[in-house]
Amino acid sequence: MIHRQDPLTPRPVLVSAIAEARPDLLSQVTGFLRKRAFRDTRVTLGTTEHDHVTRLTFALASQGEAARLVRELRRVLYVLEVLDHSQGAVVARDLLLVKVSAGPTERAAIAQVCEVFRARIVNVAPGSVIVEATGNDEKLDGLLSVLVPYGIEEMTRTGPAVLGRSDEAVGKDLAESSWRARLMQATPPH
Amino acid sequence: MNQKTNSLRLMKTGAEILWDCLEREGVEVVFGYPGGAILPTYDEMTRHPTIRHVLTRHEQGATHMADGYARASGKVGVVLATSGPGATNLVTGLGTAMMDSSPIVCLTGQVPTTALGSDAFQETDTVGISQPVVKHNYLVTDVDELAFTLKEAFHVARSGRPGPVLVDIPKDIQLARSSETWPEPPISLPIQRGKATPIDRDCVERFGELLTAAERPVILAGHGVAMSGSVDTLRAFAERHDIPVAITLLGKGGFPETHPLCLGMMGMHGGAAVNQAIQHADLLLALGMRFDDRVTGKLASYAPHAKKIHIDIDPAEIGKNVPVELGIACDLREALDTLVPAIPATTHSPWRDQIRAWQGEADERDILRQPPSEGPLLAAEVIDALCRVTGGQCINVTDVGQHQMWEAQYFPHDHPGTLVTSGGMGTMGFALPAALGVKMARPDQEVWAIAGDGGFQMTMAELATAVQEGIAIKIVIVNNGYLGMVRQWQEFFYEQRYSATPLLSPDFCRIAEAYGIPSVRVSQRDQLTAAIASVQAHAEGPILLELVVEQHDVVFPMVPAGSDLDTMIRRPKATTEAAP
Repeated sequence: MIHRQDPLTPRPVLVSAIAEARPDLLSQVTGFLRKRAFRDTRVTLGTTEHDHVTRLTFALASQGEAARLVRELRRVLYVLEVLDHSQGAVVARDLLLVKVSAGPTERAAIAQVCEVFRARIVNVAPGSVIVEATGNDEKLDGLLSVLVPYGIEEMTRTGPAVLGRSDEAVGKDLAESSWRARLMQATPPH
Repeated sequence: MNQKTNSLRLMKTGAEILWDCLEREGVEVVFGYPGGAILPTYDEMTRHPTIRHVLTRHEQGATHMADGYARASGKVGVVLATSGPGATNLVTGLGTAMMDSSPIVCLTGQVPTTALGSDAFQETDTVGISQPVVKHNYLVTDVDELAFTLKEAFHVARSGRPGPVLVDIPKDIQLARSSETWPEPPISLPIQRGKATPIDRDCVERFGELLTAAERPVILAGHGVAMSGSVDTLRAFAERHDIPVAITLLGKGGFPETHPLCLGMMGMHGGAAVNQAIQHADLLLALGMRFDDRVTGKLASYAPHAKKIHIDIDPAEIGKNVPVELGIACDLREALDTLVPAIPATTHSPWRDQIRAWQGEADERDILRQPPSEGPLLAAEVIDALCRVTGGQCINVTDVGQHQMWEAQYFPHDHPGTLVTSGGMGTMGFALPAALGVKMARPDQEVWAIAGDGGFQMTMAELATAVQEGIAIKIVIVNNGYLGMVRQWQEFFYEQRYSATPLLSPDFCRIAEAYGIPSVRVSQRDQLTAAIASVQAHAEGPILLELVVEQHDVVFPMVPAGSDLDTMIRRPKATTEAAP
């Protein structure tokens, strides 16, 4: 069974948090998602331009949930900044890897589909191909709906990674207020 | 001796750094229980005699003592415990402190970093297990980071909305050496930046509009009033604008209950008139409170006519449970100091007359209006007697259940900090250990621990702590032979099936005797006042007073959970019979 966005489901509301890369950050964040009863939340976590800073992006079902998440994120000590993307223009991309059952006769057709969706075949095995695609929810849902008839063997899809489109770089000064930076400032190396 | 050994000698161990940090933080007392993984720290303690260590009988007791100490002193309470069971025993106390915003720092030993994750003896994921019930926690894996971590831990515990912080310190970190550098620059946390609501002109204007337009305003005063030091400011505000004040359980003492504008406690066991006033209000000013479900009843029908202004230091509380017209995330005192002088004075006589009428009607149902002259003592009577004998000049530390609500109803508190109780978490067993902490913080004050027979038995091992440390508290057990509050719910909502609520107790006076604690038991009305007075007069060490009361008494009024706030189960007029 493939989890796909129902076309009628509103697009997810995106929230990002810029946080210190501490070993327990992820457990803190998932911990409060559970404690505060957030449901249907997708989280993506990854490195940033700063060594000790991590960027998390959450995809939520509604504006209300997003507002609640923003308030709760601000309680987490490691969170340096919270960005509510519901207003600003952003680039948001999920990564999709999908293994489609495809013998020699189907490969060409799948390759054509990939071209239209700007996806790529990244692996070919005797009975299947792996397709890689990045894009927003709508695009990936569209690609999947075309691939389903061939038979989806296996699939993994990340949540979104997001950056604002404007010149503004939000994370610029934040590394300086990270725990590591505060520690170094307070206790210079001896 | 080579140079390296020389320089090592100048360096301090993690355990030394820990005690140095506690001294620098001004810590006077720590509550703890030793064990394998915290032994280096306990060993080093012998060289720091300025800090008093209180050996508790259970780590939970240590957390409640630190919590009580923190609430009574305004300082951070400190707990020391070992790894594994020592750390897991802290969880209830951490949760209690978290829910009631009490600043404590728990320092736990942990297995050496080399053994982390190997299921070593007495290893547990302390940071993981405590995470949902702390404001923040740390696992220290580098001795060079210990001093900074401890300094930040104290800062986090006491700043903003206070709360518990846990620092887990592996045994090898306590033994490792570092040239300790006390971080001199003040701690500044990213979390504190830019999160408060600015009180700008728009905010003042909106506040003024809402306040001036209101005909039926009510102030809801919570724990934040006393915590932010806004007691006098609130009083001046209420008087200048002639606004009645309802208080939460933890808000007691934040506004004098004998003040004509004070309505009393709101919520599930609040006064009927208070809840009626809230349901009829056209403006609620929620100050340092969080719209707990025990305060609001059914949210959908809560104060349906009222616009809401919510001022709280925790931005996450604004709009969490109740949508508000104006939310201000800010220190309450700062907010009131800015907002109040900007608004012209108001009066609300007709509204107060209306509330007075409701109050008169409620008073007619008060059981103490016509107290019984025979039959078992009523809990309301004994609390009232306690209030009369002490003149209210004491600190009460209550446990959880019926006696807690009776204390809240029948013992008016006029000064901040005179009631310490577990509100949010509702932790039975809180009173005795917390009272020990309170008394240590305020040795000049008379401290009464008031518990039921159920809650007292949860932590009564701490009687030994009271004796060993010579802490002169007065312990009152209101004994009705039941887990009374649960029994009450069973009576009202489970067709009187009293499942597991009748409670066998030991002879509390003989228990006290075994610890060398004097005790008095009273079940007769004519002995009540004299007994309380004799307990009050006892100056040396702890003393226990057991009050045997009516078994089937019920706390009225009661808003059934999930009901409208003004649909209360009320005591029938002019009778002492409990309603079915």
